[in-house]
Amino acid sequence: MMMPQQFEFSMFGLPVQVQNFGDEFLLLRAAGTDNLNFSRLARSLFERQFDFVAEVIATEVEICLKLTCRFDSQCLVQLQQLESWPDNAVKSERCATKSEHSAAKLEHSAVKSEYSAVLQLPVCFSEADDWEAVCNSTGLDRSTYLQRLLECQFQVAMLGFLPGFVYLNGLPDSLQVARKANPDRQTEVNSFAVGGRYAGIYSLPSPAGWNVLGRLAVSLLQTDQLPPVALQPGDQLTLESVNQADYHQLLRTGATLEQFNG
Amino acid sequence: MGELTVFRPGLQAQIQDQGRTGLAYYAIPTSGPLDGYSADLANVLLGNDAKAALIECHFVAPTLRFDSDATICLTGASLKWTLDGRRLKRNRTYQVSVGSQLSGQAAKRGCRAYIGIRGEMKTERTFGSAACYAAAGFGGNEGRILAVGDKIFWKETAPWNAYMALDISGKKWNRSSVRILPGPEFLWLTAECQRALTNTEFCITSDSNRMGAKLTGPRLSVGEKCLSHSMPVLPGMIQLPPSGHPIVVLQDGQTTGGYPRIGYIPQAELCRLNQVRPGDSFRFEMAE
Repeated sequence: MMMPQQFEFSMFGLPVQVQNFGDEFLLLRAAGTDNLNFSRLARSLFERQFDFVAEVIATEVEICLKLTCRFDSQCLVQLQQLESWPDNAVKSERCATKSEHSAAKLEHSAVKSEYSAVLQLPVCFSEADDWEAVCNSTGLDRSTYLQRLLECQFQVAMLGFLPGFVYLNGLPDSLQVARKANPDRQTEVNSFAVGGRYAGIYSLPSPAGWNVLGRLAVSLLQTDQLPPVALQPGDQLTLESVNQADYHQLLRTGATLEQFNG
Repeated sequence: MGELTVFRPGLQAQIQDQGRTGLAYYAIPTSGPLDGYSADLANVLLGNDAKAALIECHFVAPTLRFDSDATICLTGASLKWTLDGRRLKRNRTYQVSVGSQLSGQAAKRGCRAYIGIRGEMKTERTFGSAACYAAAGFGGNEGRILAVGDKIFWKETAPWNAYMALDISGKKWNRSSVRILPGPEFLWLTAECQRALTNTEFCITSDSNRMGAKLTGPRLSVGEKCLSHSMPVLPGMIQLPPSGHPIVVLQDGQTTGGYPRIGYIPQAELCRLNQVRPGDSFRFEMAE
């Protein structure tokens, strides 16, 4: 059996564990717990656009590099020789990517504003969806759970899963619910859900392994720009409960998150 | 400008090209053909750009009426294609005259077929690709599957009268097992389940789609283990939800997930898995 080869690297001075899965993909794990620099490492690898890398997928604890047929053992040496952060990464975490994407030839637009304040996400909490499972699992009634949820200070952990999906950190243990045994139903667009340690937003309909609690009254996904969501890891968010009438009003006006917080 | 009209839509027929590579960082799936080998073959035989868009058919052939002359090539599963009632072969080019009707039947072997047209398809492109990603409603044909009355246009390139054909009836493609690599959490499987992964037959369930292939077979278990964080996944990754029935992430699949990744199907082998019809059994085989 072809078990992955393991290496210990130092990339930009960060100790990184590398596993090579049959020259198909590499998994990078931070040996330390420095999440911010790990996220910078991912961004830097993405911006370098190595010809032996087809995709860079960044999560909080793992980076995946999908390899192309140009990959060989020399490429590992190349990765190990990354010593200094590229200039633009040092300047600002929020800098726009100006590099031309090799396949898409799209200009990666800047995230429009520097959100210094805490953003409010308008959510219309439902009565049905997965509330029963959430209440059973946490032992809290709906109003207690909701009240604690509205007190949470969330941070964007990462963008991942599907276009427009946002992972949020900041869900206390008492509100955490395991993912479903089987991702059964389709979510509606802009569903707010909780899954394991995260809260999150499904901007698109998809089979959901998380428990859905309500609908966002604004749409986060923009398919005419990169990045397709104007949020970045580290952005601060709280939830604002809106009633049915306000929810439908917001939907009609097609408000963006920016306009809602304007 | 070349033109055709969809007469009968078939099942989930849609426009695909090589996809939007390099955007998984933004959680945008690559998409692209489920059987990239067959799609590439059609474009090669037509002398098209490798990135040219084509029509991907699933299970049942659509019926298309050509409103202009065209050079076409059919690849992938056999859908018993006919042109105005005359049987067509796969993996070769045909000249099609204006007014002709291309149709076929349900797949008997394999289940993904490709209709390539010489030229450059004129259709919507999102993030640089015409690949239809129906879940988000973007890409070719307004980001949706083909429907009755839809028109497909293409810019004709220089005439290509060459007869091109390829015989691919090799044994390599008739293996019934799909080669895999151990995934990041393979060793989480109990010893018994590690063996069951490659010793037992699996089937693809009929509620699978371009996002994921759900499998039935032996119930696999990683005991009480679960991932603390969502992790990267790629097309070909075999995830194990707590139900014990694996899900293979496919071309329209998510870029991160919280289920243990017990195996990985390399791209060339994924083309073969994607030709296995729901209900037909197959085995996984560990690559040496």
